[in-house]
Amino acid sequence: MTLLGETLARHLECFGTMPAEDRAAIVALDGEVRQVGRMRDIYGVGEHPRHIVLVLKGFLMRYSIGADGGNQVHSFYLPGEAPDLETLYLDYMDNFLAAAVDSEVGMIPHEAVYQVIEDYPEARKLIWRQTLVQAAVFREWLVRNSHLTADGALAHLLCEIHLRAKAAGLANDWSCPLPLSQELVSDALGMTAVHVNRMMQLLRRSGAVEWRGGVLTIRDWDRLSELAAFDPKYLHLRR
Amino acid sequence: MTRYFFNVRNGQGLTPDEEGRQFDGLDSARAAALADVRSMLSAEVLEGHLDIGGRIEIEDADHVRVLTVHFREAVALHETELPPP
Repeated sequence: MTLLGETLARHLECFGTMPAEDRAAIVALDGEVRQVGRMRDIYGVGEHPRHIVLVLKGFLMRYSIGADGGNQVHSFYLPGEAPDLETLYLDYMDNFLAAAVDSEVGMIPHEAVYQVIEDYPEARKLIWRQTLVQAAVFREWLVRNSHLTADGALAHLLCEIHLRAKAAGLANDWSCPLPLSQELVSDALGMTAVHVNRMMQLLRRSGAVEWRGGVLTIRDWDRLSELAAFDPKYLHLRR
Repeated sequence: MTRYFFNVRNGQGLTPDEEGRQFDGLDSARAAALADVRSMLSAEVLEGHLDIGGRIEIEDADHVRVLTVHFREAVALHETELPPP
């Protein structure tokens, strides 16, 4: 069992179960550990990744650069998550994978993962399922950004981060790490940093949530999730 | 690069900026403040109201106020007089 293999197995088990022999094949996967500085790209547009990436520490994000030069962040990744399993079967990156804060990542060679996919059908199904769930999350982000008020959209993102942190074993009761700048959050929500700050203050004043020192604490889940019209089904979490 | 803090003051009170953002100068900070105002005002319009009486007070890294951007600087307001229908 390796740190990287065990991390991947636990992540996949958020979405379903696999028999012991499939799990054993996943946990035997290994690779290298890399430090990535804040706002550094891991993979850029046009690159041909040869490794899948696992977040070990920190926070990653994926983003695209709009025609107006602004960044659109379309996903954040917490420790324990695997941001780019689709690189296994896509020829090149069509967006950027980067560190949102100083981060530590694991890199497992594609070749080793192909072998597991070939030989272990239940592990293969979970990898397939994980990438489908990512597509579901992208859909939800689209709807969130277009059909919620600004405070509702921020509340929605916070609800999602909390549930994903819980699934990754990072939440301590109602608190979890959220080391992002308001600027990055604004790039995800299609707002500006000052706007996010105002919306955050609104949520804090309502008693729903606190976000200080890189820690998110939910004070009133019902209020927050109602404001966000949040339905966690799109996360397809089984754990 | 300098860190600037954007404190927002409007009809709902003061929202202090505890985080700040880096800019290469006051001109870029002002441009960002105008974008901030437009983002906030457009959200208000979508909710059916608009208060252009606010301002962003920009402070430098030492929390000394260096510029005030009034909301009304961010949008040109027109009300075209049309002939009666």
